[in-house]
Amino acid sequence: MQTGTVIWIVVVIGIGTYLIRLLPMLWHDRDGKSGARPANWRYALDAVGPSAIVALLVLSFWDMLSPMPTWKAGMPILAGLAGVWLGKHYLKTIAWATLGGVLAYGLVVGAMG
Amino acid sequence: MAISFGLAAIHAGFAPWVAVLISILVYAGAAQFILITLLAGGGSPVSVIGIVLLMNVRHVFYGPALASRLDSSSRRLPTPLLAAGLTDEVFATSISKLAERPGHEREYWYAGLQLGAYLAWVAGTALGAYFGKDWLQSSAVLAQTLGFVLPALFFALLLEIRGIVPWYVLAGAAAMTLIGMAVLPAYGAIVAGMLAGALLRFRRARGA
Repeated sequence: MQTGTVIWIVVVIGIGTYLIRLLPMLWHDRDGKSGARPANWRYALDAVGPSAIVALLVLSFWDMLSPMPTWKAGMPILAGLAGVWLGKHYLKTIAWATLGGVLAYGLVVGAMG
Repeated sequence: MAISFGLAAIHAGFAPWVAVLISILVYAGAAQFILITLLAGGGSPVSVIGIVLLMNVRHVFYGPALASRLDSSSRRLPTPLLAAGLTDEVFATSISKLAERPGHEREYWYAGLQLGAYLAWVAGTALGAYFGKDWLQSSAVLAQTLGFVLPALFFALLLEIRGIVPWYVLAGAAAMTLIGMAVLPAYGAIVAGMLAGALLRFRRARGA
């Protein structure tokens, strides 16, 4: 694909992603001035973000383990998850947790050859 | 993760400056990895744009959830600025930490968080894109390890936000995503999982 085509695709996606983030906030601000939402709607909205993250996690494991889970694919993943948990538990931040998981995964991949 | 995106982009055959441009203009972690995969695979412009935007549709729900936690009575920063950096990571960090801040500080705290995350994302991409070629060529393990960056990030995000919603919401979202994977494309399964979680929470809240 030519570089010029890539650039306009990236520009369109950038504008689209920004509008996806902006417009719902503008609508929320406008609705907020006309009255608060019921509590159950607020709960439902709060659940969407965490549900999206779980869905992305499931999808990423699906990609790593398909078409059939094997020990060779599973062991580094288990080590990586343990690394994330340890990083989050002891170092507290998302960045360190992610780095801990990636390092653990890479170490096991290297050890298994 | 930003460094790994830079590495993945040059690994897929893009020039380093294109990788940096994607991070500057799109700024959406997981979607950027999918974008370069589709572009490198020769997808048509319409399908690439459609798939990546559908992947980002989940962000539709982030803004209202975040805005409800900001102090609307003392809003000083314009909404277009607050919306610009609303990624998965910024959202997860915000909803778990905003409540610890006084109402009048929340907007500026959030703006600082998203600015820092944005600059780190662009700088990390540049680092990986401009200096990563030698790293990748010298290590097959590094190339394989790149594939675990996104799962590690999502698991870390899950640990960050797990106390915000009940466990059955997360379990329901995971189950519906798995079911969705059998019958829908990936972005459809993600939307199905999100809606399942929201619906479960809505029904329980109404029944309470």
